[in-house]
Amino acid sequence: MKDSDLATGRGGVALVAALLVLTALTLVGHATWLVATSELAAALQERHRLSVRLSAEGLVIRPPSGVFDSLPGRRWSVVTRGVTADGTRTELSVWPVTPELFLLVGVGETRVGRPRWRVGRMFWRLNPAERLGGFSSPLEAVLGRVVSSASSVNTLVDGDPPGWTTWCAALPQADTTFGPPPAPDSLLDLLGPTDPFQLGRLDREGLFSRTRLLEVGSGAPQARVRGGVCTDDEWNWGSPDDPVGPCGNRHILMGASGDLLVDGGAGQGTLVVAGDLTLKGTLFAGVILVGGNLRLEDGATVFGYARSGGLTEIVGGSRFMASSCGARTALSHPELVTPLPIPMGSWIHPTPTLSGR
Amino acid sequence: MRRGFTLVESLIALLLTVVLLTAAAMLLQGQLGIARRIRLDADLLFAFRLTRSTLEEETRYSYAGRDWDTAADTVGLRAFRGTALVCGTPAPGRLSVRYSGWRNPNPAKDSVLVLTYAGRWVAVELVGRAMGSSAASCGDSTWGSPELWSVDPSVEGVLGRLFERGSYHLTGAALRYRRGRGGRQPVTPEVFSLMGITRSTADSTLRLRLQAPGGKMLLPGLWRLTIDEGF
Repeated sequence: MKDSDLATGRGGVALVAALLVLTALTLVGHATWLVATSELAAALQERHRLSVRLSAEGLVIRPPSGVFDSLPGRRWSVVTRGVTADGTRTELSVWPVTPELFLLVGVGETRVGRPRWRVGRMFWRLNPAERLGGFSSPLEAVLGRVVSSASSVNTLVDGDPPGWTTWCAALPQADTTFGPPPAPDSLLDLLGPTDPFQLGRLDREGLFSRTRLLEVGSGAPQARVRGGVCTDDEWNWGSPDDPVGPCGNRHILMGASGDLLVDGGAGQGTLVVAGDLTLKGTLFAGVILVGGNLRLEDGATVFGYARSGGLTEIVGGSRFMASSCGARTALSHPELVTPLPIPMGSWIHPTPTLSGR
Repeated sequence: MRRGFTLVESLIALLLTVVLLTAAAMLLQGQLGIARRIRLDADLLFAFRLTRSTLEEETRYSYAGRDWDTAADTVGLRAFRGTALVCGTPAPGRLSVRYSGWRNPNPAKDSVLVLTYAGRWVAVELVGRAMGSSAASCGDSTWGSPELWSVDPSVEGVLGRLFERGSYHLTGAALRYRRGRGGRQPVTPEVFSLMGITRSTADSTLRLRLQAPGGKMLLPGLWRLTIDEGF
């Protein structure tokens, strides 16, 4: 604007219009900046929240081995503490609820914005001593019956396989800190399992998925040693008659999807057979679970526990001797004691004051 | 001689003023529109995040088919509000517990999912609650507070999950929560134009689909909110 314009009172609206436009642009820019800032903060918070959640869940999805060991009684134990690559601090705690049920609590926490996530998960792990309580008798016929002479079956006296005394004495005893188990919580539990393969929360499908299935339906198990080391052959079932030998610690978890004939030989561990099982002059120590008929003949001897879904026959000078030591050793197989999330809902909702953990 | 504007000068000045004002008005209007859209988008994102996190937290650690299920645009569920360690059964129908949760148990509206010694879940009604109990001697005292619960039917258990029955509804352009048979309370602003919620038959996970007005799909469009039980 020239001096002459001022003197003459001339004016314009260009300046006002420019100011209006600049003000509008400033307001819009400011609003955009505010939204962008809050979105960035929300995104960062979401990122940290996701990070701590995944860290916490990761701890209980695949708990490290050994989490379930050395847990005397009912008390919290912090199993692991660590820091992930992105700086999230983690902590895994375990609470033995019963001898077979464990509550694991995973915590993920980051300093940035202090997001924290807790998640619990219930696991069931087979406890051999506890599981033997699930047998109504060491020789159990779930839906069938037992045919034998009185002298061939001894289920009243708990014995050890020959030469196992030292080993059996060293086995851990049942954990008494939990007290006696309560009464069965259903009529089904009261009557016992109707499926011979049911071992607590481990069902037939779960059991067979953990079992190594034999490729042929008959054979003679025999301890095999190569270079002083016990081999991993499928018909090498350890040496119950030589507990201190190279294969003395080999306890199998073997099975058959159909019938199985074991002709002579010796073995130890857990035998799972969907069809009929015949032991012909075989020495076996451990647990036998059979879907069909179980037949011991020609002087076969079994130390341990057995359960069949059909007829159990003990004939031809064969013997069945109850042995909790043989059964507990067999049920201690690493595949059997691998924990599984309890079916029908293993995850526990995180709560804000969950013990402060 | 009188000084002044010629007619042509006045017309040109007037024309320039109108053009400038019109441009300024249009610009202002455009910027206001942009600001409004930004605010709507922010509301939409807020509502979307709230919907997603709410449904995720309510269903992620629940068992599909038993604890929650979908029907049309509704998720019926057991809304878990706390966890209790069961320390003992002093009498039939009584549970001595240590409870820790989002809120205090309320026998008028709460039930309990009890984990039995054999590892099975059994749902019972919470019919009474008293503070303090022999639970003081139960394990770690840092877990919540000791309480004595009365439940029906009687059950012996080792762990309890407190829950209320409720349902989330994706209706009326918003997410709404209904506890029991009460009214539907809005959880989010009414900003959605299309909403869908389904339970996947393949992996039993909850999937959420939300759409903004104008057909804009909120990326990635389909959200899987629950965790696979098989993990």
